[in-house]
Amino acid sequence: MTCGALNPMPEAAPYRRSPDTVMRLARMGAAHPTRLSFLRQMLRRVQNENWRFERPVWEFDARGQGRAVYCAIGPERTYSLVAFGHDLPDELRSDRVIATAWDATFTLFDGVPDADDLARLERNVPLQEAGRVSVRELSLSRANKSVRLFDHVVARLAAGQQPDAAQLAETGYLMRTTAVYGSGKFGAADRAQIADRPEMRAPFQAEMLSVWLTRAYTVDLVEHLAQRRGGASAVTLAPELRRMLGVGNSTGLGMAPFLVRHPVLLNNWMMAREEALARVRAQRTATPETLAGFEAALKAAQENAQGWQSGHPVQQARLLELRNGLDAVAAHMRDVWDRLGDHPWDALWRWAEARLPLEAQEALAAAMIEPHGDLVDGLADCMAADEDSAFGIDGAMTVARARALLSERYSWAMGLDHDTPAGCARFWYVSEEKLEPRLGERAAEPGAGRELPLDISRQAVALARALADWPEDTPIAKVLLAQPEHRHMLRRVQMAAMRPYAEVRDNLIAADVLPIDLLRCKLAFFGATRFDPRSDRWVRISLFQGAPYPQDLAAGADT
Amino acid sequence: MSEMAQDPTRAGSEPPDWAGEVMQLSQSEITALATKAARGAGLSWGEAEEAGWACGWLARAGLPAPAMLLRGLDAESSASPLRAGIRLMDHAGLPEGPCALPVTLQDVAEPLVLVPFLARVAERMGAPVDLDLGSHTICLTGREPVPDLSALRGICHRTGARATISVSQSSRAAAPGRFDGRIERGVWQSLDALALLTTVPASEVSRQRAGAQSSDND
Repeated sequence: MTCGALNPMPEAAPYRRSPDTVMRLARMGAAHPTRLSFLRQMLRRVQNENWRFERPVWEFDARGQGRAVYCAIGPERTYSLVAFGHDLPDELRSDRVIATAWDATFTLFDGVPDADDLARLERNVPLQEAGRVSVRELSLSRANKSVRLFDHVVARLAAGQQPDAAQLAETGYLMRTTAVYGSGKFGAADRAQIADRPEMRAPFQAEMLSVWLTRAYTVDLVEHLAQRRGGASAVTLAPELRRMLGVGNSTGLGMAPFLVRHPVLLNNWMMAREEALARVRAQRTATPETLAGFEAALKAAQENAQGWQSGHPVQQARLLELRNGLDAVAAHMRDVWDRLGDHPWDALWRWAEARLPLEAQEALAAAMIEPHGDLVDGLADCMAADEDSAFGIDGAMTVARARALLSERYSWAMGLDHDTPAGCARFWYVSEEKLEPRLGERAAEPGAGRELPLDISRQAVALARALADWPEDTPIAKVLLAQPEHRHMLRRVQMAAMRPYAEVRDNLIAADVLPIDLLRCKLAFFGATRFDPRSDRWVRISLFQGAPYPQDLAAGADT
Repeated sequence: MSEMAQDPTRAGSEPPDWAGEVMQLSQSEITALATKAARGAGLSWGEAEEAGWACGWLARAGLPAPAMLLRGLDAESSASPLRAGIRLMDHAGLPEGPCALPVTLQDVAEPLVLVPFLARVAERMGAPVDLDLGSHTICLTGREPVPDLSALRGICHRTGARATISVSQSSRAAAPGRFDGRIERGVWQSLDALALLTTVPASEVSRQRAGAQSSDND
């Protein structure tokens, strides 16, 4: 971790979970958001810095076609969500990246757009990938309606009634984003252009701000449509119902390779979360405030688990485990846990680790971290990564040292089976169609010759075999000159030297690999909830459900 | 799904709306395009990553990086500035490396492609490095800050150059570079053609498996 040398709590280190425990797909696929998640970081900042919010442009017709601008005004800079509403025929509504039209399209503008900017954006943003944005834009995204709920809410509000709370709870959002692009995509500003700004230093802050303002847009839009339809009898959405709504997100395989392709980032995210849990466990006592905060967080987790629905059989079974597991924690807390004893958090954790299924363990970790903001929030500063600095290969490293690193960081890979059909059943590739990453069946589909290098464990084994043929004191430079095919893996091995959480410790091309595990881990770091897999490689989630709206923050709402 | 006038699934990866023959890419787009093109041209993935990184660095130095990369990829293996740059960088700390004795390379295509790799040599060794191309000597002090090399645009697309690399006797601070993301249509098309060699044509099976198993119209 980049902040390792400055760690004020070295005594927490022995409490850190091992990468062999944490970096398994099954556990990553049970990840829950924590207070270090990126949307929570964004909300804390805008609240602490008293950001102001304005909506200088709102031009929509009765069918929801038009445009809006939402400004988020920080201490130094303003960011504006520019939203375009479209009247989308049902047959064109698709969450897939191959879609070409959406209910709404967005960009986050760096500053306040003038008329020329808006005209330029109106020509490009609705086209998404087929358009072009500029260095003035920080993100590009789109959203589709949750048709049933959207229509229900508009109809009710137009008739002067509130929507059905049960329906609201079941879907949880009026629109779901189907892609949120940042970092230089389609001509947008590069990450380096904004990475020095305090409000953009943490990962995905522009994207989180964009989605949060999108949430405000979805509610404004239903109220607008209801007003146009119902006239004077229309009402606005009740605050308690409004708060139940988040923004949905529908995510497919395209996101899955990200964590594998960014080992430094993955390490820093995991390290921050693991250090947070370790710091809590390292506390000798529990204060009344943290105990009360934990109880509240556990209750919220139980309520979340009750409201969390999924039609996917795997997730349904896990939800049952989660609910039962959290109930068991509550019972243990009430009847057994010695909260006044020595290291009470560690005792609770050890009890849970030995008894609870993964879903409940990870939910408990988030709840234990929740009341310890003073202890852990500073770790947010360690979650960004200077990937450029870690990129260079040290060619003077000896073969002996590289072998030792492989043994230290990749011993998990050496025993994996990559030679049987099941051990290498899959291959990751980029489809020529829309250039989206996909996962193929090696035996049944063409294209394995153009495989992406995401088969990390197999590459580690191949590198180990190659190194076995070289004398120990040979510099790596000579190996790479003779065998350049190992350069990709060698770089990762050197990166992993100082980064124990850099690698997913599973075979990513095995027959039983579940891409949704990778998706869930990344989305949990965003702050997503209500994971609802739609297949083994496609998941819907909710963002900002229960969170305040921009206008609520001035009133001092909790983030 | 119905076809639309601007259906990106039909458009391959080509950016639309070329304003004339030149368009502006972001640094990450240049890096991604260069990485894929280098892989498509036959470099290993690890080498292709180096090519992508180097291309982004050259663009930050104000040079016409995509065109330079393309010529570098077109060169014979023995004249490849990418392979030479990677080799120099890997050997930086070794007795046969450029920091122990001056190294002279004969017949390097597009020798300015060596520059980002030499910047990393300088960073690794903590000493400035000179690249002597006969008519010009370029002093590299490290990976960051990226220097302004836009004055050297005139000596791009050289072939058969002789390049001598040695530890610099003097360190001259250069002004910081200004990113140049311009790319000509022909260069883009050539790099994209190489990049497409890393992709797999779609099949009905792959299309079906990539999506959800239920309708999105709910």
